[in-house]
Amino acid sequence: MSFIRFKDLGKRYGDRWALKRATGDVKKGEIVAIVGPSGSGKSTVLRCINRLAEADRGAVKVEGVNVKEIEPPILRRRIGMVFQFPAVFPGTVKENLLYGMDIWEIPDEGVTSVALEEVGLHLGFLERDAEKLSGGEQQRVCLARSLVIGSEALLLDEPTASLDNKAASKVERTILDLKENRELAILWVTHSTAQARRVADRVLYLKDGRVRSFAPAEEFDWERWVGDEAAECCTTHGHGGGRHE
Amino acid sequence: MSEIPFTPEEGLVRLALTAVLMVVVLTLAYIRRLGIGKEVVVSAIRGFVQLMLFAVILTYIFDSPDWWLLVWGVFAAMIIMAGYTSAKRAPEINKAWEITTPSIVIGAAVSLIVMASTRIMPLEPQFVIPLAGMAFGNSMNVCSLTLNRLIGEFKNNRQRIEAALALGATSTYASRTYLNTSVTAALIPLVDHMKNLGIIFIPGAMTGLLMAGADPLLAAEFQIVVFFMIMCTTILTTMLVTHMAVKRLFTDAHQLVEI
Repeated sequence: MSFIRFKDLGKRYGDRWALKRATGDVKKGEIVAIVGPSGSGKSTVLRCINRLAEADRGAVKVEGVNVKEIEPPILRRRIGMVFQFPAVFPGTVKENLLYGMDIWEIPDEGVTSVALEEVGLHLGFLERDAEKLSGGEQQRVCLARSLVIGSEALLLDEPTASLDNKAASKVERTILDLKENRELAILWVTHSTAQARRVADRVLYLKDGRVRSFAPAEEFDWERWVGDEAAECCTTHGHGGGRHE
Repeated sequence: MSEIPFTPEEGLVRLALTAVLMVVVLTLAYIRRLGIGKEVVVSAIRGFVQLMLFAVILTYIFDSPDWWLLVWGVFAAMIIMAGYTSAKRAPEINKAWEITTPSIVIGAAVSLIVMASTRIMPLEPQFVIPLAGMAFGNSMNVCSLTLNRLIGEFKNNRQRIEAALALGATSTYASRTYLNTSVTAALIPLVDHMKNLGIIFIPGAMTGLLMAGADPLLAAEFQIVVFFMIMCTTILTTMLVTHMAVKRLFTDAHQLVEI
């Protein structure tokens, strides 16, 4: 059974429909990569799912329940989100992890240590200034912030796009491990065809705000939908330049 | 104790002399290309006209047996101007006057009502109007500073706020840090002013009373009352305006709106 299912999702900004009609789903323990050209509505899908933006049409259901029937904070606790640029809060790594735990009154009792190790950071990081970490480390702190509050799904909005190749590979590996170990349902927006081919169980291709293809990764017609980009996978990771690990 | 040692007519001559000094300084500023000339001249002329008009109105009110009715007209003008001026500092918020005006009014009214009902403020026009002016004016300044800073904080920290919302924070919780920063920043000038009372500054009310020949101790007491009133008013205003602004910066579903 799908953990998240969205149907005919549409979102308008002013007169322009950023997302026209998008239908798809993701199961627990699965990664669905959302690919497509810039401006095709990839990020908008994620933002409508956890209601950081309000869809103008269509519906999103989490385990069969319409998200409009769930209090947004509760919905967002269940479905974590990681953005393209790591948004750490001022303070130590531990304070970052405790932010969400304080909201949900979760006692620490080793939760922070476990989460930190799960994202590949050793315990020495707990007392470090989060803003002084490298981009890749910050992104892993952001992942851990969702883990400590018990998120069952993750919405990843190009989480490696602002990182250099080495940092991106580490973050990518971390997410793949989390999918296996925590049985998370993951919707992963990426502009990198190569990355989508490496991580996705299923691929959803968006163009001009519409879903053009949604298929298991092995059946997805890479040549047809992403054309020249498909060749990129064999030569490069395809990440943008950026912060160094 | 001495009275003010010149008549209003003699005062105009003195005013003309200070205007000459301003012209000299502005000429210097023009030579140095500081680019402040136009704004200073406009505000000087505006200030002159407004204050003179206000003085004429005050003379009429002070002499009128129905002064209490007329005071309401003065209050209404003060409130409209204050709400509008403050709202102009927050063009990002649609119809910002709808939040600035009540914040200023309620913040000032609470202090004024307490002062009036306890007779700390004598119910005479020469006390009621200046004190209300101080309350509304300071309330307006703090309201503008708070809103201006708050919007800046929201623009600079949009991603962090959304990251907090994505962890399940409510709009109030996600914006808490930025609200506190804005309130603190807006109150800094006033707090610093208060800290240095009698050391660096001799504040307006006390200066006025001293110049009018009042006992320094009485003048100081009155000034402290004024400052306490201003502090209460401004703190209340910042609390109200931030509370109302957050309602405009987020939707009911705890979504950050575009600003």
